[in-house]
This record gives sequence, C-alpha cells and structure tokens, in this order.
Amino acid sequence: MARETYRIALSGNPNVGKTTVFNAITGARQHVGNWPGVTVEHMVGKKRFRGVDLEVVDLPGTYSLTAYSADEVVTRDFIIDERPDVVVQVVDASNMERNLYLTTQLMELGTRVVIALNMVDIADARGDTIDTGRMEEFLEIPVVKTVGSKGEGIDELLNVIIDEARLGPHHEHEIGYGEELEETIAHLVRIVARDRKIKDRYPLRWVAVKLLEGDENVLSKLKGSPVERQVRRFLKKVDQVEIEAVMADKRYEAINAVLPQVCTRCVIRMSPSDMIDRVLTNKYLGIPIFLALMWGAFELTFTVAAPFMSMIDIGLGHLASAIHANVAHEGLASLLADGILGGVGFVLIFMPNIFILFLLLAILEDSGYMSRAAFIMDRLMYKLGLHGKSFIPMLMGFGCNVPAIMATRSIEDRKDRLITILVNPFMACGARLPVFVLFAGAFFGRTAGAVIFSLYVLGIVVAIVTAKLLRTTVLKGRPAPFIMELPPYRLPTVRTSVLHMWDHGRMYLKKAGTIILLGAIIMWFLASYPAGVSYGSGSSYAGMIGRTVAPFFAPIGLDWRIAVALLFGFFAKEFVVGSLGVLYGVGDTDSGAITDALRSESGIEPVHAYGAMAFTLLYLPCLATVSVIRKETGSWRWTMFSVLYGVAIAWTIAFAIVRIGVMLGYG
Amino acid sequence: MDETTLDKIEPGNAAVVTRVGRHGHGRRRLMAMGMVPGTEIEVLRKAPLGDPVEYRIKGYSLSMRKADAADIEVRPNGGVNGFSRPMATIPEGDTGRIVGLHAGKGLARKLERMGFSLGSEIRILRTGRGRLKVELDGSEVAVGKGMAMKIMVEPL
Repeated sequence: MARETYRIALSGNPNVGKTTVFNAITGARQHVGNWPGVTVEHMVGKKRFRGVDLEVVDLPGTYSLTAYSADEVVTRDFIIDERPDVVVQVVDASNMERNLYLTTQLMELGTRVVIALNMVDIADARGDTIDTGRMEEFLEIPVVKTVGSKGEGIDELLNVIIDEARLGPHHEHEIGYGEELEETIAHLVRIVARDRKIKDRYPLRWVAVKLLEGDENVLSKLKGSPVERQVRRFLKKVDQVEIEAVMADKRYEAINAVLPQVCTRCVIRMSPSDMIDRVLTNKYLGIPIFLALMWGAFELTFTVAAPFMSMIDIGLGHLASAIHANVAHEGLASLLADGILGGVGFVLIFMPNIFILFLLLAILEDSGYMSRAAFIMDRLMYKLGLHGKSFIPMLMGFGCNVPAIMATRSIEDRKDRLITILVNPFMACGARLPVFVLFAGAFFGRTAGAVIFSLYVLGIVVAIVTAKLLRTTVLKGRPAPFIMELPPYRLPTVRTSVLHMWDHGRMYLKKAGTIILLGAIIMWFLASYPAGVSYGSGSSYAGMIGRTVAPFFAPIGLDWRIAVALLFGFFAKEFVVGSLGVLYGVGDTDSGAITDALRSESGIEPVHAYGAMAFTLLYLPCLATVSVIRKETGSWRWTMFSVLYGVAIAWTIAFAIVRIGVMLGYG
Repeated sequence: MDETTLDKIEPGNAAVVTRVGRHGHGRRRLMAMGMVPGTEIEVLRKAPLGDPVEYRIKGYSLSMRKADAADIEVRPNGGVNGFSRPMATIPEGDTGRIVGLHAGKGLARKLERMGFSLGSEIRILRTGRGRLKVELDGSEVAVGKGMAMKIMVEPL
C-alpha cells in the first residue's frame, strides 16, 4: 500500500515569518525548485509526521492574489493547477486586518485553508487577546497559534493540517459582495460555465470575480474559448475599475465585521519600530547612518574573510604541489592541478567573502532595515531611472556581481529588475581591482590612487547612462510605483540568518561554481595545447585566438598579449594579471616583474594603460556573471545584449580615451 | 472638511481615504494593502531626501512616492489623536463621543443621516454577534459591526 502523502502549500504576506514556519516544519530537508516556465524559485521541504508524508511548498510572500506581480500569479496558478491538499496561510497575529485580506482571496479559490496565527508572542506581549475559537467559527477555517522562531505550535499545526487534508476537497465559502454585484457575478458565472474546460479546471465564481475586477491574466485564460466573445461583450458593459474598488471594500468590510469579535485591542498606534524609525530614517541622520552601515558591512566582509581566504589559498597551493609531485603523467597532473584545482580554487577562495556578505545581508533583511535602505535611497535611484530596491544590488556589485545580480530578486517590476541586472556589471567588482592596481602602479606612480578612483566613477557613470538609455528606448516607462511595507524591526535570530545565508551561498556555489569550474577547464585546455607548448604562451590555442583578435585591439593601442590576457579575463577578471605574467615570460606571481615587463616591453604609454583599464572595467561580464544573468533574466537575448553592449561600450570608451589622450599630447 | 490628495497632507497629520485614483499604476496593490475608502491613514515622515513618504495604515507602515500619493483623494482628519477607537471595540455600557467617520462619501452621508455626526455622544447598550445597539441622542439605534468599525469614538 502506498504511503499516505499530502501536498501542503505555505502562503502568507511578506514579513509574517513564513520562512521561519517553513524551516520549523521541514528542518533541513529542503531543496530549491523552479516554477514551470518562470524563473521564480521556490523551496520544497519534506516532513514525516504521524506516519504521513508531507511535501511542503513555500509559496512567495504576497498581499493578495491579483495579477499585480509575478509572485501573485505564480501563487494562484500553483493553487489552481497543482491542487495542494491544504494551503496554510501564515498570518501575523499583530497585524490581522491586512493579513486576512489574503485569506479572503484564498477562500475564493475554493481551497482548503489552515491559518497559522504566527508571532502570537508579540501580540500577547502587546496585550492583545485573540479568541481563535471564535475566529474558526466565523471564518470556517482552522486556526493554530504558532511562534515559528521558537518552534511553538508546529506539532499542533501539523496535526490540524493532516486532519484537514483527510477531509478531501473543499466546499466553498465566500465573501458576499452585496445584492447588485452578486447578480452580476451570477450572470457572468452562467456565461463562463458554458465552457466545459474552464468549468472543470477553475472555480467559476473566482473566474467571474477576477474578470469583473479587470484581471488580464484570467481573461487571457479564456483565449480561444467559445465564450470569450460573450465575456468580453459583458465586461464592456460594466465599470471594472469601480467594481474592483467595491470588491476590495467589501472584503475589508467582511474582515472588519469579524475582527472586533475575535480580537480585543488589536488596533495599536505607537510601536517601538516607530521610535527606531525616528532615528534611522531621520532627515539628517538617516543618510549618514545608512552609509556607515553599508561601509561597515563591506569592511567586515573583507577583513573577516581575509584570513580564511589566505588559508584556503595556502591549502590549495600545497595540494597543487602535492599533485605535481605525485602524479607521474605530466598532462594529467597539469589538468588536475592547474585546470580543475585552479577552477575549484577560484570558487573556494571567494566563498568566505560571499558567505559573510550573505550573512550580513540576511541580518539586514531579517531585522527590517533593508526596506528602510530602499526607502532612503529611492528618490536618488528614481532620478536615475531605477527603483529604491536597486540600490543594494548596485552596491553589492562592488564586491561581486554574481550575488549582486541574485539580490535583484527583491525587485518586483520586470523592467526595473532587468535594468538593474544589465547595469550591474559596470560596478567595478573586487576582481577588477588587481588589474587596476597593476596598470595604475606601472604607469601612473604617485597618482595611481586617483586613477583607480576615476575608474570606479567611470563605471558608475556608464551604469547611470546605460540605465537612462534603456529607460528611454527598449525598456520604456517609469519605474514601478514605490509601494512597500516597512516591516516592524525585529531582532534576527541566529538560526534564520544562518539558514538564509546558507540558502543563498549554496545557490551561488551551484551556479557560479559549476560554470567557473567548466570555464577553468576550457581555459586550461586553450592555454596548454597543442601539445608541447608552454602554458599560456603565444603558440598555445589561447595565444592563437589572441593573435586573431589582436587587430580589434590595435586601434586602442594594445598588443596581442594584452588581448590574450583580456580573453582569459572573461573566465574571471583576476586571471588578467596572472596571464600577463605568463605572456611576458616573467611567471605569474611576481607582480613587480610584471610591472617592469609591461613598462619596457609592451610599448604602451600611460594613455593606453588607462584605455586598457577602462576596457577591463567595462567589457564582458565574467563567465560566472554571464551565467547568472542568463539564469535571472531567463533570456538568452538579454544575456547576449549584456555581453555585446559591454564589449561595444568598452571599446568605444577605450578608443575615445586613447584618441583624445593622443590628441592632447599624452603618449 | 475639504477634499484634497494624500501628497498634500503633512507629516504628523491624519486623513481618511475617500477615493483611490482610477489610473494609478499601483492601484491594485494599494487596495490589497488596505487603501480602501474609509480607511484612516496617518502621515508619519518623509524619507531623508524628501520622498518617498512613510504612512501608517491599518496598523502597519507603508511607504509611497508623493507622485503615487497624489492619486489618492482624502479628507483631512486633523492631528493624530491617540485616544479614538472604532465604536465596535467599545465595551457594553461605556460612553463616547464621535470624532471621525472612516467612510467614503456615500457611507459617510448615510451614517450622518442615521445621526452619527461628529461630536454626538453615544452609549453602547448591547453588543451581539454581528450587530450592536447604541443609544444616540436619546434614541436607540442598531448598527452592523462592519459599520461600527468605521465610526471612530473617543471614550468618555
């Protein structure tokens, strides 16, 4: 006999502790899944309880189930198409009114709902008393009190879930919208019901309500249906905008009829969060505090990570020598030590950085500060054609573009997010710094610092111009409205923050890791073959490619060796330095020797060096970034755009620098 | 009380939503988040650069750009008064004075016709399931709890 198995979906507003409840239920047994057809990722966890297997799907946090955002569409499509046995809605006990709005939407979908009344400890501490018995009676939905962060109430929640799941498909209970509207709804239901396919697949009342609300997504589901024309004609006669407002009002009215009877003192005015906001978003203090926090986060990331990074570096070095010493076949030894270990090394060496960065971001996010950061920066970002939420990813870009692009997920609007992703590679990531240091040190001496700083500024300017350009051409329109909840400040728990960090870190490892490893092996091959050439020299395949593309670099005054180095830089930008060392025959570790070689042998002048640095800054995003752009945009076209646009802009600017420099008499 | 738009209300003041603009880009999201006619909204503070603005609505903080707030019509409700609460939450036997009607134009007029005008004193006679009985200017009035949530009362 097959084991009893149920599928549970977890829904709820953002910031209600949904993730903590999910973690409390499933523990470590989770994995990341992708929604069919879209790039929104979701977590799936498993739990065995009372001999029953539960598969728990963590749906995105939403306020409603309209077609306003991709998250909402994903959530309702999942409930309609996948028919989970029970939908658990996590409700913030200290903010019931708004939370219950989603409940009314779930009820309309005809699904079996269980409410996890979460964070009751906070509501209790505030002096609210919530009568869950009466709540169950009014809503006809089981209600369980939980404290996700402490794991309280989870067993009872699971018991109730299983009891509900065993009851089978749900009867309908719904919100009444008043006589007049009900008639209109009934009329539309009769029309839609004539299409058997729709009737079998969707809750008809829900379809009618959504159509009346002007839901384009639901209307598109009727495409090709025999009733489509009739529905459209019917909708022309009604004022959808007005109906949508009336329906929202009726739902809140229904909530307000129930709330005072189940909850006493559930309306509050002053909260500790408000006091904190008075300081953190203060007119004069807000920005300095924000900048200090960001600077602190970066400092911490790099200083804390540094010793771990050198430990990993030393360890890898020992391992490589051991391989060379013990593997007899020279080609194999080189593949293992230089190719595979080199690739793995690149992933590992950035791990401390990435994990610490993610941990700090998790703390900022869980504490509620992240949305304040967006709040503080929105005005500036809006002027640049971006969104307040674009700021953090842009800032992270100075560390590494890969996690930065992953962080754009918090941006709801597709265009806003796409622009933020596409301009991100122009933020000079940490890997580009060694290249700048080398060239600036070799050619600019005392002014090297100012030169490097100017490159960071150049990157920002290109990012801003690009954002403006995209906004006025292919991605026309204004940034999405800034309608965002500023959640109450909370003390992040160690468990949640660490899990958060681990989730993101693991995703980085999987995505960046595999692609960098692959890139490193390809690069090793190009540098080591045809057989017999010395590693990375001009007669290797890499060298040949470099010579082929050299004419492309001639107008900006760079020779084939720099071309090869830049080619390697595609795999990871820090390869540029090592590669130059090999090509100038001075070994890849001694930067002093590389500096001398560059000065005496390359035939380039400071103006060309500046051009080369600008080119390094702006050209191709590195391989890992390209792969993450592909993943996050879900589009090869935009990925190609990013690559080609980067190369074009890099060449143009480098060319302009060199020409103007020469004209002014430098070089 | 003159109608105005939400962007014109200065921090420290409150207003009641009367209409959410027909063309606003984020209208759907706003309504889901509680921006329906009759809701009281408090203006808390501007962001350090002057925009967006933090509001309080239905017990939580919401931020919005002024440009989006300009699509929301409101009726100013004066300074924030920490003492008023919905009539539905006043215990049986207690008295209070009506200080605000959190309703759109239509309902506000209806409530005023029923006698629930600003300044009137009320006493809660009985609270039941879906309704409550109220003494208003010497006569007895029955009102639904949904409606009673929209009548703001200062306990006496």
